[in-house]
Amino acid sequence: MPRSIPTFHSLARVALFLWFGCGVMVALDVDVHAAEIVVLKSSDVGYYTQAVQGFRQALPAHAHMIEYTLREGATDAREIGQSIRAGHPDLVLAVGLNAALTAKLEIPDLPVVFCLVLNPELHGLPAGNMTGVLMKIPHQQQLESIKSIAPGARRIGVLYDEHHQAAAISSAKLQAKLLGLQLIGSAVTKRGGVPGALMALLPQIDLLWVLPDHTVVTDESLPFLLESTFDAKIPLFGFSSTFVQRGALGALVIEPLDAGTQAAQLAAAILRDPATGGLRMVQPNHPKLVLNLNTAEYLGLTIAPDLVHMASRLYGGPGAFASQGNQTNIAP
Amino acid sequence: MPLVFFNRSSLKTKLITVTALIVVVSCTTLSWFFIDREIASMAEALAHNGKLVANNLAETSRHAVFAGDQERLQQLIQGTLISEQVAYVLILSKDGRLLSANGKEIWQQYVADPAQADRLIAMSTNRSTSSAAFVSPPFQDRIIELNNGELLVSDDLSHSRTCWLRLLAGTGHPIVYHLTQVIKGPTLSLASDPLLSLTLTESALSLPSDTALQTPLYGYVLVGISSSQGHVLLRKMAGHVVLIAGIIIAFSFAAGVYLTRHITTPLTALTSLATQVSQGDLSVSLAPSSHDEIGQLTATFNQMTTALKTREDDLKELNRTLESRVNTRTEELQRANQELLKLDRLKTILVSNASHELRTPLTSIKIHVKNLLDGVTGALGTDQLQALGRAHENIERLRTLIDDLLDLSRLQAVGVELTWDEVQLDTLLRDIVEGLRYFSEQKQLAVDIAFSGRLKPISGDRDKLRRALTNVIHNAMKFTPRGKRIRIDAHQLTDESVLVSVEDSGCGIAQEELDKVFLPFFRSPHTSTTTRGSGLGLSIAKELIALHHGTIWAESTAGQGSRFFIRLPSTPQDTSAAIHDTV
Repeated sequence: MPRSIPTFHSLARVALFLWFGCGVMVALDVDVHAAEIVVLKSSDVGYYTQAVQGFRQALPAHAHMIEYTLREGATDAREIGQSIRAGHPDLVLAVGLNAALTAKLEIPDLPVVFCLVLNPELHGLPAGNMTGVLMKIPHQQQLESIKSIAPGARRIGVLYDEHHQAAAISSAKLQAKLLGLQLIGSAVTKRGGVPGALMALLPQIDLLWVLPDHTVVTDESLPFLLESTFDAKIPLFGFSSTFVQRGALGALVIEPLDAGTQAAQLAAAILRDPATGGLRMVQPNHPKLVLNLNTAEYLGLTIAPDLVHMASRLYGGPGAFASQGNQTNIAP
Repeated sequence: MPLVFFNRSSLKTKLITVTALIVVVSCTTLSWFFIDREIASMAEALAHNGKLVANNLAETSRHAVFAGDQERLQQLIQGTLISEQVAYVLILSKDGRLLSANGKEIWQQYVADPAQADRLIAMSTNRSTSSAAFVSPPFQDRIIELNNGELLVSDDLSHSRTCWLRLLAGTGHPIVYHLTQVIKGPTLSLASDPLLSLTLTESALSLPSDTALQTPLYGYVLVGISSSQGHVLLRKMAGHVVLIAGIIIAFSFAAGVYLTRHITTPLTALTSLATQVSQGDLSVSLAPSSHDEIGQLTATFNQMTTALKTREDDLKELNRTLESRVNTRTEELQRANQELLKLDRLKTILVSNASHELRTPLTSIKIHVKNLLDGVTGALGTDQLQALGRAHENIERLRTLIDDLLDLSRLQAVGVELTWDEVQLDTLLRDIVEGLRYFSEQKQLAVDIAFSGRLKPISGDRDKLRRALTNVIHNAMKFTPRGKRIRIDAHQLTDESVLVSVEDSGCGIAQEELDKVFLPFFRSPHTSTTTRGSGLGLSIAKELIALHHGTIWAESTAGQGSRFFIRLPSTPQDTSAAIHDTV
């Protein structure tokens, strides 16, 4: 069978294919393709699964991944850790605090990336072979969002645990001042002090800023925070879409899918250059804005249309709920 | 025993008793069901309203409970106590500590006293969950009885109906629905809110869950719903029910009595009238008191008595006129009979005279014909002799007919006198048979004579009896075919009379002709034409037997012959003896 002579067009197609292939190889690295990654989940909670899904989507499809889930109470942590070590994977993704602590204790000699851990520093994380994605949105970014949403609010109140948040609040006060805001902090030492502190704080402020604080935010205080600010017609800005759904004005939230994606980018960097295993933990790079338009109307606030367009999730307004895809339909 | 009494009692008593029983039982049953349903409905409504109050208070007090705002809690409790049904309200913390309480009237001092309040709280403690009070609700709904200001016992809510019944009956104490409601927060789904979920759960190193904020507990609301208002309403309602039932029973009883009287009074009157009618008084009547079935019965009864009276009057009139009509008819019949007797006598005289007048010339003719046959007037030829022989034979038949007619006419004209003598019938019968021997031998007849012993002589006219018996025997011989048998019997009957029977072997006589054979000139259509006779023999025999106060009759079976019976009394006076029984 005689071989055909390649034409100019066929040669051009081959060249184009090679050019695209080289581009992808450069983007995702050949080593990542061949890597073996172990995913260790703290449990089967939905947002853990979403984070793993984001992680998986951000990696090449044929990256080899093995997934472990800790049982309730983490009684099998040691066996799972030994099993992972015996497999000698290229990287371990720990999702959640229990998984991160298990990796810290049982897998000291493999690179570990963790995510969805709220306060890693309280638990000695990260260790030397570990890095991860932080769950805390920078205060400055939150204060900027607050200023954008409620430009008239100058006195920003915040409740915080004096033992764990004092330094951060001091830093935030400076950042607020730079933004022309006054951050009024009210320290609480125990959960029972939240009602009194809030009642004392509300008359002094134009907006209540709620941080992810174990002492301030509890299942009992959450309705109280919402109802008290609602009754006092004080806007509440938080970190949870649940807050917004229940009547808070807005929140900057971290989607688990984004956290997983960011963890994948961190993992890819480590796999490309194992020497970078000791990288610093990274801030969440894509916090999402959630707004409640009914609350804004109740409070007499007019939110700029650009902000409404930027919001990933809207409550109230012409539609009861709007995702990022159809938000234009409900924009004022 | 009651059944016997019931059966013996009157219809009025039965109807009234049964109606009263049905009405009383129905009213009592319906009243009981109504009151029972009202109690159930009221108890359910109270519990439902209390639950609504408690639930509403739990929702509104959550904020104040969490904040420990006593003033706000008191405001909320006061607002709840505005409802008349709410007796007291207690708000407890989630660990069961009393946060705030208030009440109305007697309950105000209860809840103000910490010891009594604790007792009140203890009464609502969930007894089935002592070791796991916070797994299941530590408090549960109760019924609390209050006696003169003292708390008695608490019971499950399901027993409230019994308490209500006791209360209604006056044997129970005022009750309170002691209802509890948990003060809890909203249930949130945290499946897509990791930061809040981690904030709430990560501190305890416990595994986070999708629903970390499941119903956070704040405290409890205990609400007492008083039954006093419901009790008053229920007693009033029960009084109305009893009153209405009593009125219905009274009206029903009165209506029953009226209807019973409406039915039984006309029946009693009708019974009295029927008694009078049965005693013959048909003039009674009763005006219908209504247009119903009783009225129809009364009208029908009146029609019946009227019809009976009309019939009775008709019968009386008929009886009154019947005698005169019978007398008239009898007189008419007597006159007709006399006319007929007169005509018959004239006929007999006519026949007698005619027979007598015919007999004389006929005798002369016979003598002259006899002389001619005997050749007195000279010798005659064969043809003349033959013709004269026929003429002489017919003259002889005609003379016999005239003799018979003459005899019969004499007999019917009562112009014959009998010569009474003692007659030995057996001898007479043998003489007669002997006298007819020529005739019987001509037909080759066998004549059997049978007598049962020696017959006693009877009183009679020998010649007349001979004539009568000869006619009967000769008649039997005439109608008996040649070579057959004739049987003659004679019996002495118990009354000394003699019964003679002559039995032939002829063709017999039809049943409908048995009485006609004794009429003059009667000839049966079934008789053979060869059998000649005047048709007067049996008639003459009957007349002669009758002159002897005897009787003659015939019995026959078609095709098998006939049998003639002649009964002759020993003396002419013996005529009434039974015949058939003594044969």
